[in-house]
Amino acid sequence: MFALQRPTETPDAELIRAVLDGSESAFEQIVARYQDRVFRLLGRYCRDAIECEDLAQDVFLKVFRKLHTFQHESQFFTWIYRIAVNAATDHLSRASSRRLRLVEDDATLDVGTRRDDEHSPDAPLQAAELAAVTRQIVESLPEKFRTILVLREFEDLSYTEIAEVLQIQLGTVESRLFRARQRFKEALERLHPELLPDAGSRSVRGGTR
Amino acid sequence: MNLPHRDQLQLQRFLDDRLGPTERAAFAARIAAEPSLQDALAAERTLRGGFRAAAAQARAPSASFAASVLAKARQLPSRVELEQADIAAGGVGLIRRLLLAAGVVVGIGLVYAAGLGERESAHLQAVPAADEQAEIDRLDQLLRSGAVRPRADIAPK
Repeated sequence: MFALQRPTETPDAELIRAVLDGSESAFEQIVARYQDRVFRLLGRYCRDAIECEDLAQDVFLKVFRKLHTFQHESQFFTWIYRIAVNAATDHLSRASSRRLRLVEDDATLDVGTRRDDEHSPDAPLQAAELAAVTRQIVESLPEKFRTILVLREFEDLSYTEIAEVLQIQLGTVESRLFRARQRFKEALERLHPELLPDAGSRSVRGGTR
Repeated sequence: MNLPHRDQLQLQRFLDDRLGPTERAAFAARIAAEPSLQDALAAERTLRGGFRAAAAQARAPSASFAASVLAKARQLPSRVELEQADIAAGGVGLIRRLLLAAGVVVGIGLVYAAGLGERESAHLQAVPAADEQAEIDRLDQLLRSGAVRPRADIAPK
């Protein structure tokens, strides 16, 4: 899990209060603090960087406009994520005729190293192919399955955080995630069975995270 | 994959660290003993490897992004106006819902008054009238056919 804020940073609640009192620099700090995460999330729903930037701008302006409605009952970042997810799904439904998809434009992607690769496939080529296939399949899933996979697998949110963002029960998170993974697995088995391990390659280890 | 649904769900909980220590240990022991669970675990790890690889590729904002958001935010109405607009929007929404509810109630009332109520009262009034006429017709027919004769004491002279 990412460190959400360093100990020396001004707490979110203080920044929110300052923005509500009219501080522009406090809002600037909020944008600076969350822009990377919002971009990463929205990037899963946009075709190109310009579209992503426009959508992210809308999200932060909505955050600014609605800040007085934040009740401090959930974490601030999950509140922002909720706005971002709603904006992304609205955007997808508006643009469905244009067949907007999850990221396909590899040329504009920043390849980061945010997680260790302890369990990833050994061959880099296979890992890259698996990543591309993964994106394609996630893109093809119904919106609610796609969103929950994006939040869990790409954004690394906990079940509780997902429940806060989507405003659903923990049990629903588990069952929806299960169904999403089943759909994903079925598609992978159907489209790219060669990427799945042979039945013989067995190892017994604990959870991945 | 032919793993029972319950085991697949338990495997998800195992990999997502959603099991308590006892359940976790018990499931780990089952994995060690059951090849089908080992195969499912290997497949799950492959999938999750794919997700990790895909997740590592992410967009980043441009250097001017924060500045452009601030510039747009400056063009918005003041905080007080935004909050007042929110309250006004809430009030308008409430009024709209109340009007809709009132419209539905009035509509139901009108439908009842114009249709159901009328049909019901017409039914209540029509049935005795029809019965009465039918009885008169039946008696007339009997008299005309001669099957019955009027009583002497009440027969017309």
